[in-house]
Amino acid sequence: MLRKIITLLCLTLCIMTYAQERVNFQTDGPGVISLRVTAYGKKAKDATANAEMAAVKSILFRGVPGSNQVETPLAGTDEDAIMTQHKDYFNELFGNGRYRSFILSNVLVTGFAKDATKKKCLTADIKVNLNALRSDLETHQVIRKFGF
Amino acid sequence: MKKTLLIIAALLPAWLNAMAQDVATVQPKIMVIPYTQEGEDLRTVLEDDANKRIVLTKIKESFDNRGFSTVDFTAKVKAVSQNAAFTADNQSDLKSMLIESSGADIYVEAEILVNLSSTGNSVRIILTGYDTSTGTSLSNKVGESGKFYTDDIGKLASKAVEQCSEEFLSTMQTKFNDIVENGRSVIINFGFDNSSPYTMSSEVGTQGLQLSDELELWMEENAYKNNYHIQGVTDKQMIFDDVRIPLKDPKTGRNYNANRFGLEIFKFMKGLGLQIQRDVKGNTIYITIN
Repeated sequence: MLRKIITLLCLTLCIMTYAQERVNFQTDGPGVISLRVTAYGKKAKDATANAEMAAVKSILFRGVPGSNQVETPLAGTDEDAIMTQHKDYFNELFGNGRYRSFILSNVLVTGFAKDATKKKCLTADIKVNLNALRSDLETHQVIRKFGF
Repeated sequence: MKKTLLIIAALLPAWLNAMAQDVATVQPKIMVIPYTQEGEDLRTVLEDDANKRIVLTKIKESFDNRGFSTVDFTAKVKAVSQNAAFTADNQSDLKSMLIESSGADIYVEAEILVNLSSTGNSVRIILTGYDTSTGTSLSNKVGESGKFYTDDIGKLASKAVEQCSEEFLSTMQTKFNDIVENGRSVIINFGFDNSSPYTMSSEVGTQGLQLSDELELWMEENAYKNNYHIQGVTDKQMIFDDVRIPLKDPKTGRNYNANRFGLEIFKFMKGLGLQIQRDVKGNTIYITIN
């Protein structure tokens, strides 16, 4: 019983943590997008990792309004179905930190500090290599190459 | 012997499936053309304006970046110009003739609008992608360069293309995904030869149904995922303006096209005791009943 409660608590915490990240469009150019991300974490290291992950997830599953490169999500909107269908790829991408290879730069805008809700967070400008990310998704057949 | 046959029967679907994976899907042919106003000659419009050439090249570059090659418009224009049939008198229809002769399944029309003002110059690009056979719009985007104090219109034009090309291709890819899922659209036009004793209300086949009903029932059975639309039926004509056919033959896994679907129609009509003439132009099938 106790184990179940702990699992449920962990799950709720995970969902809450994930829902907290905020991703906003900054600028974009051919094959590159810059996003301003506010992310939370216990330590600065965790918050930085969460920010980069949130940037990549936004590009893949949410799209970035205002952007000329990925206004519509790169992989699709049905996050759960896509991640289940390509389980190995996403385990490698997010579980083993492969997403970092698509990050071109991560510049801190505000330092790691408590926000108005007393939660520790940081804000960073993250630049993502879109061409490489798209090619990778195509190579691993997560999305189709251009054409039929 | 029985065992061998059973093993073959069990392995056949897997083998066919493996074969299907080896067959590369035939990709659509795409051509990028400049937008022309009435009276403008499609052949000289690019030669006269370097900015239009820049726009076309930038769009082709976007396709190349996605690993997709386009049909070269300039080369096609030159080929067409050498054809004596394309004289200046019939240039109003030159565009459709060019698209038809190029064999392009999709064409992208690019319009460039230059805005010169005292507060800076800007360029606006309008991109529209069409399915050649059905005329369906596949993707539309407007790209803007923003205002700059520069006279380099070519640079502004390429900035405007960069601004919208990715989203333009993404929208087009969404439509391609739909085609993969729901099949490619073809038009089927049934008509009669002048000397034909038949009309659409003639009773044919063993069920005593009218020809138009027989055709609809067959289409219902054979259109991919039963997806078809009738534009209209008269006594002398029946037009299916949107019949979906698969990209690959579900049985063999090989590439499937309008001509193959025409063959299926031919077999069906023969079964009804009708003699037909079959013509296929791009994704349009013309059936003439003798």
